[in-house]
Amino acid sequence: MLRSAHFLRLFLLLLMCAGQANAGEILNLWHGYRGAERAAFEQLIDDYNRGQSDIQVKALAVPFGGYADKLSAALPRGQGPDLFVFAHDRLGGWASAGHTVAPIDHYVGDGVLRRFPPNLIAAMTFGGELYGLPLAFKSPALILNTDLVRTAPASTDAMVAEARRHTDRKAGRFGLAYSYTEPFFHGALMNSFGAGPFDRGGNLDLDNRANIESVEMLVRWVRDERILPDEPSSTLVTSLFNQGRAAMVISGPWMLGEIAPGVNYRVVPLPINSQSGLPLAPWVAVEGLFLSPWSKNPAAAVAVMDYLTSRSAAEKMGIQGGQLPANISAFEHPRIATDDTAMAFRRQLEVAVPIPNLPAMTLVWVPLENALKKVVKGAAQPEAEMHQLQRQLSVDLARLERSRTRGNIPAQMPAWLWLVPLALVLLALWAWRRYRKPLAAGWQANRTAYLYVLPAMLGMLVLVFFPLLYGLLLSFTDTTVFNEYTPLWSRFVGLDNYAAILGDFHLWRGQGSDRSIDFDNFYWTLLITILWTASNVTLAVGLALVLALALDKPIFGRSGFRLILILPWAIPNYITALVWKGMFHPQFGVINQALQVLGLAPVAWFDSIGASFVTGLVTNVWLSIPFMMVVILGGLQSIPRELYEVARVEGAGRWFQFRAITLPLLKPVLIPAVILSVVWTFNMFNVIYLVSDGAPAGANDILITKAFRIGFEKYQYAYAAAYSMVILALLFCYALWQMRLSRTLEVAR
Amino acid sequence: MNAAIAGIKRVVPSRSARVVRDIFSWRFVLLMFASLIVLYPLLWVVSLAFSGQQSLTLVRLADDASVAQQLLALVPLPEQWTLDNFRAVLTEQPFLRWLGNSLVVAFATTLVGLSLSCTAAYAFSRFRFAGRRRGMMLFLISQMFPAVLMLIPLYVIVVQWLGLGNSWLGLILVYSITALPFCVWMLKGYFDTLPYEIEESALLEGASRWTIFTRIILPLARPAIAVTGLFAFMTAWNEFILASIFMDDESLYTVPVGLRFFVSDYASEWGLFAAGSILVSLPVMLLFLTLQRFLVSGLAAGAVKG
Repeated sequence: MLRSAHFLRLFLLLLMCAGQANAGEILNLWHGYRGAERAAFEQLIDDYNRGQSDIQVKALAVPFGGYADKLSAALPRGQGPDLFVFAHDRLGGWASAGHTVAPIDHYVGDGVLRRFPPNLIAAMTFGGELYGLPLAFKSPALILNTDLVRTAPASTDAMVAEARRHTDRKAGRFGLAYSYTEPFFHGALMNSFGAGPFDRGGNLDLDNRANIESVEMLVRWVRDERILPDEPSSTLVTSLFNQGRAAMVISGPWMLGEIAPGVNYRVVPLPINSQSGLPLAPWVAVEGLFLSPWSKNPAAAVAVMDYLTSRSAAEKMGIQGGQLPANISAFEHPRIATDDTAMAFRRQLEVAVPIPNLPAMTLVWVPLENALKKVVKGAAQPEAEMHQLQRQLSVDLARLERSRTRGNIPAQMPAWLWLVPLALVLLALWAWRRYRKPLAAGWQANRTAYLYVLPAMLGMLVLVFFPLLYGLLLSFTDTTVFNEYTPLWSRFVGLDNYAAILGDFHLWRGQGSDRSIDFDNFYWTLLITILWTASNVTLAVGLALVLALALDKPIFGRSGFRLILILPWAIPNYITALVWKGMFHPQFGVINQALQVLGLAPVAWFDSIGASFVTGLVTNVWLSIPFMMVVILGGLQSIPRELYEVARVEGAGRWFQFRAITLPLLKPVLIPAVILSVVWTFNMFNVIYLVSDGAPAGANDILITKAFRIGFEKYQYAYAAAYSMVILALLFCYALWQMRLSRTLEVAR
Repeated sequence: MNAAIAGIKRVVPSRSARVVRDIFSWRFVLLMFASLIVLYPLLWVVSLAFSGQQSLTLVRLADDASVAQQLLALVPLPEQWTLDNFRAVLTEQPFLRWLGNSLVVAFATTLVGLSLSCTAAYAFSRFRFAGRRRGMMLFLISQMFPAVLMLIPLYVIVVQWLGLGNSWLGLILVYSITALPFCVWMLKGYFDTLPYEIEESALLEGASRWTIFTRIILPLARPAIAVTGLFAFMTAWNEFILASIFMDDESLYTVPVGLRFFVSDYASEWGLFAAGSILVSLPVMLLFLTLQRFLVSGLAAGAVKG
């Protein structure tokens, strides 16, 4: 009885669900929110779905790390959501590439636009067209520890003076802390001197007087006033503030949730720049709702945008979600109007500048960060470095621009290109005639073997060699973000990319005393990659062999040791790599503190090429030993124990046993493992990217991270593909050589 | 070590004596040292996870403390132990569900990957056919192309052509193929070490290739299969980017995707991430514990030696 009632209820529920699904059209909405912000956001969507029956919005939360990739994989291919929430600074790239976002001018009236301050609307506009509605804004402001600093400093001079009072570097106390080498934060200084990185026409203008002055001011704060900690990261800034070791920090609303309960704080707008007389104008990131060009019902999607940015929705997001709503009328709500923190960010917005949404801006972030890191360490002079940066970025931008103009010319497929498929067909025909007999014979003789291999090969063919072919094809073009969707032949450039990579002999940059090795050079990167691979594999295999041998024979606590020693493999390497990075922090990392306890001098781990190389090496060896050890342990098991018995009876020593029995019999297992680990280490992206990030200034980048930077930070997709092909060719040669070597050794024995 | 000493040991099988002898051996010292180095960074993860906070308290050294005290201060221990982070990880999001999804995907990957690679590796090891070397090389080449640049073409194949977007099948296929080269190479290496004579006599007795493969080779290669199986499992277990790109339904996410919710561009909840990481690595440790039995299976023959 009970059960049938249960069933009935379930059935009704199902019916209701089905009814609901049928009732309305479904609009997919992607966002990256979590926690309270997400709860409030989904509550709003639920309300919307319940309020009417025509449209049902289905929300999907995507974690930040995969969000941009997910959008750029799905949207241009007609997949993905109807609308999505994302920061506005990618807009220029998307709009230029096409197929990713659609303008919404047609669907929104002035009434809706009046909800937002003009600078937020400007952020959503590119090339004169509006692409989305702003939902929320995030900008840094000054956060004071009110136990240490009572009144908000009115000017930067006052702020620096106050900060100096609270700085005691030996005790690890700082008057001011912020991620000052991150361009997003440096923007506040930059904008307070002038126009920022672009001139009015949208051309890159990084080395104008104003920008140089902003860098000089930062250098004074770091090197002369010494009020800022070394190697700042947002985690470090938060930790310092929570322990009362930073009197003031510059950070945004995202930090508020992490401030420890006992810390009294107050948020105030950033002070006036004493040198220029203008207020520090931080960059503001605007989270907008964007429309997919593939949405089947754009009007309904924009109606959802309209609803989500309405005053009542904005109030809910502000109060429950802790968001700073872009619909500023929400700040009149009594709950928000009396919230000093929210109102401080609101005041900060008055002078804040949206991050330029030009595609070129995305090229600026990393090189500018590298330049800032260099100058605050005294490794370069601000003026020279900014000129250098401007020159370097101009070259990259010119490349992109060239591809755009090429994309604009409607090119015909060159006639000779028809010869390529023709030649391929002829070649296939010839090969078929030539090899049919031997192939058929081989198939007859070894049918079992082929059948055993076939399933694996089929999978490889579809999922590995097609992507490879795609990469190969891409590498013969000059595909960038601007001409991604133009016909292939209009992008075709032949071997230009390869010539540019392999013919890059500009090993030096700068003149005279400024002359330094150009770390973007292919051959430098290759050298680092080879050193990186060789040192890693040697250390990892050697140490793993020692540990495996120690574990092979019974010993007290053996299974315990075995379990402990594989732990680095079991825990996601993303977090352990970041722990190692933290341990190498020059001021607060335990490694330097241990060195100091032992009476040694601390090492500036990320300042020099050698030290920075060591950080990656240590982390990677630590990460890769467990895997190697398990492989070798398995291999040791396959060695018949009787051999050792015989050797012992014959009076052979341990070293002899190791050399005559263990090593040779381990070889069938060890050689493939070594070859594979060379290939993997050569392409080890995570560790380099997370630990040293190529510091200093890209000197420790390996080929794969460089290829990534070219593809995803400079948008030169084809150049990155050519880079990858070069990597593949190098590794292929290595594998051939290694296998030939091991085969000759085999014969020699 | 000569036979006489070995003989004495067999006469006096006192357990405590053996433990003491083990502890004072160089092997033990080495293993202890290695374990410390392995554990130290992990201790940071553990202490962050159990601190209930999102970022770690920075170490502060007192100037007047003795060297030993200062070294002790470098041991990362949270100021107070709490399970708050674990509770938040498990309750804020359908974490257990994602863990279950991951288990399904990872075990299926192991199964598919192992069956594909065992058969292929057996053929590569035991048959001499045209294209054998080239075939092995092809497997290797697949590892040489940077994975970041494979994202778009993989998306095109799996989601657009095969229509396997938003399904585990797509993920399982991609993961198995990703793990395949390693599995094939390692298994071939192990198969090569197995004596051919057993198979020859079985063939003479009229056994089919398949019987030999399943009845003789696979059982003999258990340590290798354990290692490669673990590898295939890990490939699927920790993968994040493809899973987040292919899945359009939160209830189908795998656990690495769920973990990354705690990390974003601005603020990252490292405490929750650490707690989640520990939860994620527990199944792997359990798996390894069970596989240990296979890893040491060849030991029976060598149990006599010390």
